[in-house]
Amino acid sequence: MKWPVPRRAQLGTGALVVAALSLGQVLVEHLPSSDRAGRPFENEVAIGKTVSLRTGDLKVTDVDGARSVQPQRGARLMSPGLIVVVRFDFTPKVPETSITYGELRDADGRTTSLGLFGARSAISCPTPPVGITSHCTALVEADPRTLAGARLTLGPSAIDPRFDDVAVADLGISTRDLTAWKSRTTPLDVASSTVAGMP
Amino acid sequence: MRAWLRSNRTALLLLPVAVITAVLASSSRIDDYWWSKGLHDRADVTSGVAHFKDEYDDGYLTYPIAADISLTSVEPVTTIQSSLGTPEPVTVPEGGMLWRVRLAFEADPDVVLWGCRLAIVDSEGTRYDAEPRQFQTLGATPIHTCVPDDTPGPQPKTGSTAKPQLAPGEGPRPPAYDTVAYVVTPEGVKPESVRVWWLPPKYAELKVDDATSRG
Repeated sequence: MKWPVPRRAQLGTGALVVAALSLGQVLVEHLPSSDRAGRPFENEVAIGKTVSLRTGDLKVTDVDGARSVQPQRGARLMSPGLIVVVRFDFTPKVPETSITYGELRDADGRTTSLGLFGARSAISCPTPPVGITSHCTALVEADPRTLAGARLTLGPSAIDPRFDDVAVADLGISTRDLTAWKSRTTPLDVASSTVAGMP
Repeated sequence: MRAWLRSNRTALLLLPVAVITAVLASSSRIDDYWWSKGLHDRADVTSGVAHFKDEYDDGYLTYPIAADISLTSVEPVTTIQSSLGTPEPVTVPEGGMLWRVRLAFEADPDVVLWGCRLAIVDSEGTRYDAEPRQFQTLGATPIHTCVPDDTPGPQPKTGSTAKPQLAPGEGPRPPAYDTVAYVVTPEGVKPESVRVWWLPPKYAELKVDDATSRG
């Protein structure tokens, strides 16, 4: 039996096909997975500094905490751990935008998602007109042992933070802060979030 | 090389067609995630009148949305008249101001026109949407932006495929009428145009000029 001998052009075509397949395989292995490719754009920000996101400017103005907090409109919250109160300002650049996504990343690497209404760990930020500031609040209940070095992620979409800008705020919590917060004997008052200048 | 080009001539000629076809085949996301999500399709404007023409179609119910819209005035206000005619102060957010936008409509009384949105656009392209909850007043503010409150015309019934009809007891909408809307912007904003839309991507854009600006 005589085996067919390929022509030089056929060998070249075969080599090109193999090269294209190999290149495709290399790309598939090196391109990020859809989860990683869709992760939000994280913008680090410190307390008192303003970060510019796609949807608006965000500034964390204050971080406080206690075992018990008293929201201006709502029932008192008590915790065997600590409730951290983060106040921040948000000024939107696009219509109908607010901050509704929040996630605490504690020093142990655990994450706590913040809900919107009724949750113990919750975020509250009214939607202001474009260019006008909202004074917003995030409450998050956490284990005091993991709070030193904790960071809070804040973003515009509670249901899908992917593909968009989020702020990652280092809350600057020290062990001294934690000791002071734990020793508080009266509930920490938490003012309701508002659009600046509105009742 | 020349022989290779000659023998593969047909395939090489078809290659650009294949590339264009592949790009077009994967372009539905442009429509899903961009074109139909924003205001991209501006209605024709002649002599200050926008000839808006669109269609509502949810797969079960279809009706036209069509009107000739013109901008009458855009002016800053600090009071709004109550239903008794007395001026009532307005409370706006810190650093904000309130604008009153007057529009004139001409439309077939049988056409559905309720449920529109309105916004002021400044010279930098920033859009400020009309939202009644953004300010407070005891003055009389309109319920609808694009139809008269007392004769809004036909409305579709939620969840029904029945032809939109007048609510019981309501008269027909006049063929020509004026409307008022209020928009909060930061202080110092200079309105350049007013946008009106029902369903993106279609919108009407009316320029604010010397005749309409009272700011």
